[in-house]
This record gives sequence, C-alpha cells and structure tokens, in this order.
Amino acid sequence: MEKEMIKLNQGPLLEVKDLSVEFLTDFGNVKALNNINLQIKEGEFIGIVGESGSGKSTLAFSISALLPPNAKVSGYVKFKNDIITSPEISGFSTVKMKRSQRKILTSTMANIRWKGISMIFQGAMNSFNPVYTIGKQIEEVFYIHTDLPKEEVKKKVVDLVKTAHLDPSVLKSYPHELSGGMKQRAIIAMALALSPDLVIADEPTTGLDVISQAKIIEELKRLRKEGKIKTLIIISHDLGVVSQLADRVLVMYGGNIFEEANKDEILEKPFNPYTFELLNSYPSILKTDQILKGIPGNPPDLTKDRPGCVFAERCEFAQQICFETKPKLMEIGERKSYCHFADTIAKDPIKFFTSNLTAGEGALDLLERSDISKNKTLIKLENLKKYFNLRGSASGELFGSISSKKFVRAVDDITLEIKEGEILGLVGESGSGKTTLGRVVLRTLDVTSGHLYVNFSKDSGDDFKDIAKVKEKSKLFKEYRLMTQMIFQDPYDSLNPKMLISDIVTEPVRAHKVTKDPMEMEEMASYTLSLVKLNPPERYMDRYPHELSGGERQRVAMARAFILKPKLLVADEPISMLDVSLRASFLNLILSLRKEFNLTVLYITHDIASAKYISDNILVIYLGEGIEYGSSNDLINNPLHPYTKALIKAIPDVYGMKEFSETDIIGEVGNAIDIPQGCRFYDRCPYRQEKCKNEKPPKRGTENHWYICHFSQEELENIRKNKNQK
Amino acid sequence: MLIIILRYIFTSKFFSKFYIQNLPLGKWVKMNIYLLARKIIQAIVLAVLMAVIVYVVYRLMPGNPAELFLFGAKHYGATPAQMNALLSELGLSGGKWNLMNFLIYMKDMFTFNFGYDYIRGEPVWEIINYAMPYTLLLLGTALALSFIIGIPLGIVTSWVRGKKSEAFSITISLILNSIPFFILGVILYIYLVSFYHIFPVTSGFSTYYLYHFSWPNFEFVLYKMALPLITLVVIEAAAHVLTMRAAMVSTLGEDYILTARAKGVSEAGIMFRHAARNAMIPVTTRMALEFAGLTGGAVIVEILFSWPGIGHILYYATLMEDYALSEGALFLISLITIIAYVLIDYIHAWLDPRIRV
Amino acid sequence: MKENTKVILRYISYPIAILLALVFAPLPLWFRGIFPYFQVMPLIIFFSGIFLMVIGSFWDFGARIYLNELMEARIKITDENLKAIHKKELFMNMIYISIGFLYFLVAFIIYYI
Ligand SMILES: Nc1ncnc2c1ncn2[C@@H]1O[C@H](COP(=O)(O)OP(=O)(O)OP(=O)(O)O)[C@@H](O)[C@H]1O
Ligand code: SF4
Ligand code: SF4
Ligand SMILES: [Mg+2]
Repeated sequence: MEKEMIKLNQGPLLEVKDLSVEFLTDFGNVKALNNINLQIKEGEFIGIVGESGSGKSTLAFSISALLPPNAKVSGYVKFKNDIITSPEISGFSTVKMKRSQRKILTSTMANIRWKGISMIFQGAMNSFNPVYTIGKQIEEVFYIHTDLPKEEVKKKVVDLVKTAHLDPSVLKSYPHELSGGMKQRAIIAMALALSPDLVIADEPTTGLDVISQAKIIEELKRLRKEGKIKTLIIISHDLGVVSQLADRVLVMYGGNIFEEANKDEILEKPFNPYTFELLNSYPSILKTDQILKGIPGNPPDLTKDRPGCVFAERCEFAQQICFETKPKLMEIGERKSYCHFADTIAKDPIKFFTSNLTAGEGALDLLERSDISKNKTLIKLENLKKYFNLRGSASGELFGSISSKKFVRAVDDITLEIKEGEILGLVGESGSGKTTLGRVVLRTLDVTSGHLYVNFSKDSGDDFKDIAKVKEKSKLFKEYRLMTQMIFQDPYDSLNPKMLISDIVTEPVRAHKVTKDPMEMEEMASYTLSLVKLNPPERYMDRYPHELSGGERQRVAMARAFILKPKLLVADEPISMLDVSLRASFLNLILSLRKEFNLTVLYITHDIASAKYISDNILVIYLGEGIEYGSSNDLINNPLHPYTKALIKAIPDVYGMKEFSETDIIGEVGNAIDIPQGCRFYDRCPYRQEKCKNEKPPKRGTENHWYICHFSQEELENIRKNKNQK
Repeated sequence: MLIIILRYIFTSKFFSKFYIQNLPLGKWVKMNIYLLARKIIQAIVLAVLMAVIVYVVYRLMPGNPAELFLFGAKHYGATPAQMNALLSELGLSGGKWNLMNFLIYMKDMFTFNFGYDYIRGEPVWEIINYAMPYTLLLLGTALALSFIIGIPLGIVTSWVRGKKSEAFSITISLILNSIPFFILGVILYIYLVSFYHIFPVTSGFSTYYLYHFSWPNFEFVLYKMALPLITLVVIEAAAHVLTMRAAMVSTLGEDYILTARAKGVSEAGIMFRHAARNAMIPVTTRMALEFAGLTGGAVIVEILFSWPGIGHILYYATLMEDYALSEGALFLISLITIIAYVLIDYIHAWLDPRIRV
Repeated sequence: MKENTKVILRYISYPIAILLALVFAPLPLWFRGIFPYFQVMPLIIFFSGIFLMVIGSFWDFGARIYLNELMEARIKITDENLKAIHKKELFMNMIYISIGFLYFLVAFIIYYI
C-alpha cells in the first residue's frame, strides 16, 4: 500500500496546465490569468511575486479549488492524480451543477482540502472566525477530516500550537484577543494540522510590522528544516519576503507568468524586461546608491483585449511586435521567460538591458546626493514634546486606574536640526510617534513643551523665531503655514472624490487667498501638474479622483502640496499604498523637486529601505523618543542602537540573507504611556542590564551619528558574547 | 398617537444609542458583574421613566375625566364632600399635576395595583389579566414565526446569490416590509374575510381554548388567530429576510469564510456554523428596534381584527379617557418591551464573544 | 485619588446646581403671584429627579472616550481594567441615582411646606 502511493506520486505534486481564468463582472470580463503552466515537485519552495492585481491570489485560489462562482476557467490544475480545477468543475460551472455531480466533487475535494493543500490567507488578521476560540477552530480541522476521539484531538492541537512556538493558553482565547503576529502563528499551526503535502501562503506577512514579519519568516524556515512543511507556495508583492523563503521564483504581471527561474538566477540576471524593471524598483538597504527607476505608466486594465504583450504599454524595451502579437513563454535551459526577445536577453542580458534604455536614464546610474552640509538650517527642534493628555477630558480622570500615568508621550524630548534642502527620514514602527512629530512640526498639533525654531529669513542669513507657542491667528503663524505642506498615506482618502482635480490642486491657493484670478489659478494648477509629471496637465484637470490610478492620485496630492512652493514638505508614508513599480518613481519625483526647488522634506515611513534611498539623514524613533540619528548610509551600514540593529536585521532584503533570531528583540511593540523609567527600549532589549531599568541612558557617539544607550559599542559586543556563551 | 409616541421613543436614536450600542465599548468589552448590575439598574430606571411618560402623556391630553365624573355626580345630587371623596378615590383630586397623585400612581403601577376601570368599575388588573394571554400569544407566536421563517429565508437568499430567485426574494421582501401593518391587515381582511369568508370576522375567543389544550381547540385558536398573525409575521419576516441576507452577504465575503472553505468545511457548515452565527450579530442588534415595531404593529392589528388583547383594550380605554385602564395597559406593554430589550441584549452578548456576560 | 475625588465632586456639582436653580429660580414668579409654585414645583422637581436617574444610569461618564483613547495609545486593556471601569461607572450611576433621591426629598419638603 505504502509503495503504491509512492509510485503514484512520482509525477509532479502539482501540475497547472494552460490555465486561464476570467471573472465575469458587470464591467466586462477580467482576464485574471492567461495560459499559466506550472509544475511543482514535492519538497520545493516556490515563490510568486507580482504587483497588486497580477493574479497571484487567483492562481492560489485555482490551485486550492476555491474559485468564486463568477470565474470562467479553461485548462486544468492537477494535484497528485486528481483534477481539482477545470472548466467542468470550477467556478462558473458549479452554479449549474447537478446535485449528484456536486456530491462527487465535494467528496474528492474533502480529501484534498487541508489534508492535501492547506492555505494561509492574505489578510491573516481576519482568517479566524471571531465568534469561536482559536482552539475550537483548529480542532474543527480534525473533526472534519479524521475520526479521532475528542481527547486525542485536544492533545494534538496542543502539540501543534507548541510547534508554532505559541503558548497553549492561546487556544482558549478568541481571535480579537491576540496580536497580529500571534494570530499568524496560530494560522500557521492550523495550516500544518494534517501535515499537508502543499501549503499555500498568500501574503502571510502583509500587515505585520517588520519585526513580527521577520519572526514569521524565521518560523517558516524552521518548520521547513524540521520537515513540518513539505512543499510551500509563498505569494507576496514583496520580493524580499519571497527571496528569503523560496527556491524558485515566478514573476507575474497582468495574469501572465513573466519569468520563472531559481531565486539567485532571477535576482542576479533577470531574463525578462519586466523582472528587470521590477528589480530596479525595489529600494534595498544593501544596494549602493543606485537610481531606482520604477516603471512608468499604470497597471494594465485586464478587461481590455489586447493583441500583444500585456506589459507593452509600460515596457521600455517594447518594439512594434510587442503590441501586435503575444509572446510565448520561452524555455531557456531551466528557466522560462515570457518575452519576444527572451533569446536575445539570455545571450547577453547586460548588453540588452543597457543598450535599449533611453539615454540619460540609465538604470545603473548612481543617485546624485546633493551636499547639504553647507546649507542654512531651516528648522530647529529643541526638547520638543507632545503629550496627549489621556484624562484631558474630565471624564477620563475618573477611570485613570488603568495606567498610573496620564500622558501618552507621543513625542518626547526630540532635539533636531533640519537643513534647508535636506530630506530627513523619520523611521519607526507604527505607534512610535512619527506622524505626531510630523504634525507637531507643521503645528497642526499644539506643542506641549519645547521649542520649534523656524528660520524665516529670505536670504542666506538666519532669522530664527520660536513658533512653538505662537497663536494660530498671528501673522507669523500664517506665514509658517504658507511655508509648509503635507501629503498623506492614503491617496484614496486624502482627495475629495467630489472635486475636480484642478480644484483639488488649487485648494491651498484658495485657502491662503493667494490669488482670486481663475486664469492664474488654472495656470498654476497646470504648471504644478506638469511638475509632478502628470502630462499633459489638461488631460487631468477636468477629471475626478476616482478616474485616476493610485500612483496618479498620489501625484495629484503632491501637486496640491506643492502648488504654493512650500519650503517644508511633510510626507507621511506617501508610498505605502502604492504598487512597487510606482513607488520608485514617486520617490524620484520628491528627489527631483528637492533638487530643483531646494525643497526640505520630512519623510515619514516605517520602510527603512525607502528612507535610505531618499533621505540624507535618518532619525529612528521608538516610543516617541529619537534613539538614533545619522546620515542614512552610516546609520544603515553601521547601526549603533540595539533597536536599530534589530530593525535593520529584520528587513527581508532581496540581496542578502540575514539570520534574524528571536534574541534580537523581545516581545512586541509597547505603548507610550507605561514607559520604563530608564531606557525606553528596556522591555524589548536583548542587551539590557540592571542599570538600564531605572537610569536614563545618555547620548553617545558623534554629533553626526548619535544613539541613546548606556553602553558603547564594545560594551554591547561584550554583553552579546557573554550571553552567547551562556 | 400613543402608538406613534411609543414607537418614536423606542426607535429614536437617543434610545438605541444608549441602550444597544452602549455595549460594544470597542472590541474588548466583556460583560462582567458590574456591567450586569448597571444593565439591571438601567432596565429599572427605564421602567420608571416609562411610567412617568405614560403619566405625562395622559395628563397632557385634552379633557379631564374629573370633570366628567363631577358632572355625573352633580347630576345625581352628590354633596361636595362626597364628590371630593370620589375624586380622591379615583386619584383625581388636587389637579392633574399633583405630586401626591403622581406618587400614588407610581406606587400603584409598580405594585400592579391599577385600581378600577372608570367605565364599568371592574378591577383593571383583571381586565388586563384577561387580555394579557392573548397579546403574549400573538406577539410571541409572531416573533417566533417571523424568525423561523425570516432567518432561514434570508440565509437561503444569500445562498442563491446572483440568481433570479434572489432578486425575486429581495423584491418581495422589500415590498412587504414597506407596507404598514394596517394596510396589509385591511387588505387581508377585505379579501379573506369579506369576499371569500375564509377567516372569521372577529378574532375573539374565550380563554378557555387557551388553557385547555386539545387538538380541536388548538385548531380553533389557530383559525381565529390566523389573520392577525399572518399580518404581523409577513411584515416582520420580510424585514428579517432583508437584514439577514445583507448580513450574510457581507459575512460570506470575509476571509474566515474562505479559510473555512479551504479547511474543507461543508457548504452547510459554512452557511450555518460559520456565517450565520456571525450574521446574527447585526440582526440581533436590529431586533430590538424591530421588536418595538412589532409591538406597535400588534396594537394596530389587535384593533383591526378585534383581537381581545391589551392593544385593543388600550385603544378603547384611551378613547374613553379611562386613565386607570389605559395607563395600566400602556405601562404593561412598556414593561414587556423593556424586558424584551434586556433579553435581546443578552442574546447579543452571547452571540458575540467580543461582548460577553 | 485626590484628583479622582475632585472629579467626582465636579460631577456631583452639576445636578446639585440644577436642583438649586429649580428650587430658587421660579420663586420670584411665585412672589408676584403668577406661578402656583407649591402645586407644580414638587412634581417638576420629582420628574427632574427621575430624569436625572435615567441620565445617570445610562451615561458612561466618558468611559467610552477614555477606552478609545487608550486603544489609540496601544495600551493593552485587560479584563481587570474593564471591570475597574465598569465598577467606577456603576459607582457614578449610584451617585447620580442617590442625587435623584435627593431631588425627591426636596420635592417632598416643598410639597409639605
Ligand atoms: N471575484 C472576482 N470577481 C471579479 N474580479 C476579480 C475577482 N477576484 C479577482 N478579480 C480580479 O482579478 C485580477 C487579479 O486579482 P488577484 O486577486 O489574483 O490579484 P493579486 O495579485 O492577488 O493582487 P493583490 O496583491 O492585490 O492581492 C484583479 O484585476 C482583480 O480585480
Ligand atoms: S514582449 Fe515586448 S513588451 Fe513584452 S516584456 Fe518583452 S519586450 Fe517588453
Ligand atoms: S540602555 Fe540598556 S536597555 Fe536601553 S538600549 Fe541600551 S542596553 Fe538596551
Ligand atoms: Mg492577492
């Protein structure tokens, strides 16, 4: 019996053949997948990368036979020896299926689901049913697929949870009582319940902070080593995450597989223009100061029929033929590439990619860093504090028993200088007070204490005025408002959907009553729109936000912020909602505006790689306190503070493998009320000593690169060594 | 007018805000002993408030029963002393806005000592006692039936998404739900009673049939009850179909449903164990409001079909300015509603672990 | 604790102030003889007492706002915390209800004068 099974399983574990999926919608048919061919052998870890809408999830659903009823399928997916997705049994045709047919299908599926293929879904936050305990939901798997008695199931579940490094007490909790990272672990535990042959993880780390993400990746690696996960398909828009886990990578775009190759090969020598351009869009902390190109244009509209390559509209290497005929997936040795020129590229990739690029925009150019050290200082923060009074309302005073302290120290004692024309990266986990600091600097929030000096001089001299406590109606304040602008995270929320683009862009003009002449306003709008590279501006002026793509909207937001030529721009996570290919070009836009207009930018982000790419200096904040500051290269290549060290180690980078271990950081993000008396990082610091608990750590290092800790680098190193010995 | 006021109070934003949404204080609330105590206090205070409102509403209405009585008493040549004695016995001396009258009223209300009916002099409690089973029977059956019919229909409607039967079901429910009780009642009455004589002209029957259960008795009660019941159930069930379907559709789109499907949970398991349980949460939240609607509806339907319940009594007592009887009846209806609200609160907390007793 | 008491006192002061206003504000009208003070006021004050009880028992005294603030500040709220909050709320409810009884008392006093 055993032997027979093995014999049967000698083919690929999973075979996807000529699979196409169309979704029938009211707005036309969305061609989500086109002619996908794929084979997965047992023991392989496959990564699928692609931007939003490229069909990654659709592929995952096809593989696990979960396509919705509005899907029209051709081709098939075969798992072991069973066809699990095909035109007859999937999506659209299930609606019309007879009861007897459905029964047969359900029984084959019952065998495959979770026993054969289990899934870790995108948006793990909601993968557990909120009304049942975690334990009950994991047990359910056993009750469906096995006949084990209750006690045994209970025991098995406890074991499972332990393998995922979770405390068995979580079994009794409801999903809402766990943090994101813990929930994700519980889901992994559930996915491994029946030791399935294939696990599909669709964006398993999206929505987690960098450190939880690193821990989950570590977890998956460990489970592979222990043989608990046999075969894995990992899907992500983040090439970093995929490259950490996968052996073989598939790159998807517009429903096609554009390239398939081993991970290292793809990273080193992409054989496909899309992969090449995508790789050039990822900011990486390990890359040198190379210019990120990004990919011009917008994601394809999948409802349209096109005769040629889906990428042709955006491809820099596209020729006439690309628009006219569809390329084929060409096999080059072990690798596959979907391009008319795959052969040519394979012969000499570097030659192909460099020779075809538009002149002056070479992908291998270095980023020009302007020298800002001689510039005059624009803004000086001195011991700036912003506390939110929790019991500010009389009512809060009543319930103050929860925390003995009554303030949220959102920004605590930050001292900083920002030069004119500088881009300062403000990096921190969510809840660390980045946004608050940005808003305090703009004075949209009041300052609790400290000074905010702004240089109002029009020429090269200095004319500092403290505006920390200036009244909102004063002239000085109005002048400051005119000097500053902000762009927000979400390009969908920040633009009023009922306003025309031209009205949105000229909003500040009207607000500050700069001019009332409509002609002049229109001129300003069109000029600014062309500055943010929305060309030609006339095409955009009379449209509404919903008619634009995410990248274009964010540019409109940028145009609105820039129309009055502010001196200081606060950009709060401006790219986090954008697709990877659009991110780089937005960052480049900021850089070009800086270069042209000497714009000063406070760039707020949780993504260190992009901060490194764009900023001159970086300030890392943790629970409202600046813990390390330095020039971006220094800080990333040579982090000094234990927190920065852990943070940088936790970034899954495309170009390198770092072993992140649990000991680099302890626990999860704290809050800014019950902060430890001594060092803020005490609760999570692996280097902590008795002294750190109650004594405030001093500033160490140089003026250009400082950190806050009791110990010098040598001492920290010694602590680590001692710890390792134990 | 009373019904309108009653309905207004229970369906008002103010009320629902305080009573229903007061619970989910964010995600982390579980009901504990203190919360429980608060809920009980709130229910009691609410009952007191209802009594006050009943008092005020009746005193604000034009007319004064004291004058009616005095007119009658004078006619029979009563002495002033006798008249005063009569008035104070009826709780009418000292004017409408007398504190002592009010306190006596409150005491009587909460001891269910409603005094005597002004018209026939029967004890109010007995009249109400006689009518109560009818109302409870009608309301309870209507509530249960509307749930038993509405919720599964809602689930099924969400199941057949995108098919013609879904559109059909939604349209019918929408139409039915937007018909006022009395219009549907009148239509049913005209067709089924006047034209086709399928159902009885009046729905009244002796309590004997209620207390002595036997098959023919049951059939008889059902025959009598059919029309008022149908009127209530049809409209209520339609509302449940709509809410349940909407809740199901949004629940079925959740990620955990997908996970359940991938786990191999059967379609029925997904529908009932995973989706319906979650979809019930918003439905119970709305249930409180619908219950108020149902109570109002019951009053109308009782009048329409001469169903001898409290609503019927209330209506006629109010018309006759019979303070004792109508106040007692209205107060009891309010009490039932408040109790229903409290129960719904607990059902809600039981369904949703994010708020648990 | 001290501040806590202060807040409680402040909360108590509102209904007491209203009570005083209710008792004394209509007096001038009564002196002029255009207002049947002793007939009507007792009931009005009594009703106000009941109304106060309703408000006092349904109002959360800002607990929800406070909890939201805590959540925004990413503070873990445990069951004990919630219990403490509900306890406080209950306490405040009881205080308001007792003030309601004070209203009743005043109503009686006026009635019997
Ligand atoms: N049920 C559906 N009905 C209609 N269109 C759909 C459906 N599911 C997906 N699509 C469309 O199919 C295309 C591919 O979607 P898919 O979810 O597979 O992308 P993805 O690569 O997973 O994107 P993301 O990174 O955002 O998760 C998209 O254009 C999407 O809008
Ligand atoms: S086929 Fe043409 S458009 Fe498509 S990737 Fe190749 S070069 Fe670009
Ligand atoms: S002061 Fe102590 S706790 Fe803080 S970062 Fe340094 S070693 Fe860690
Ligand atoms: Mg997806």
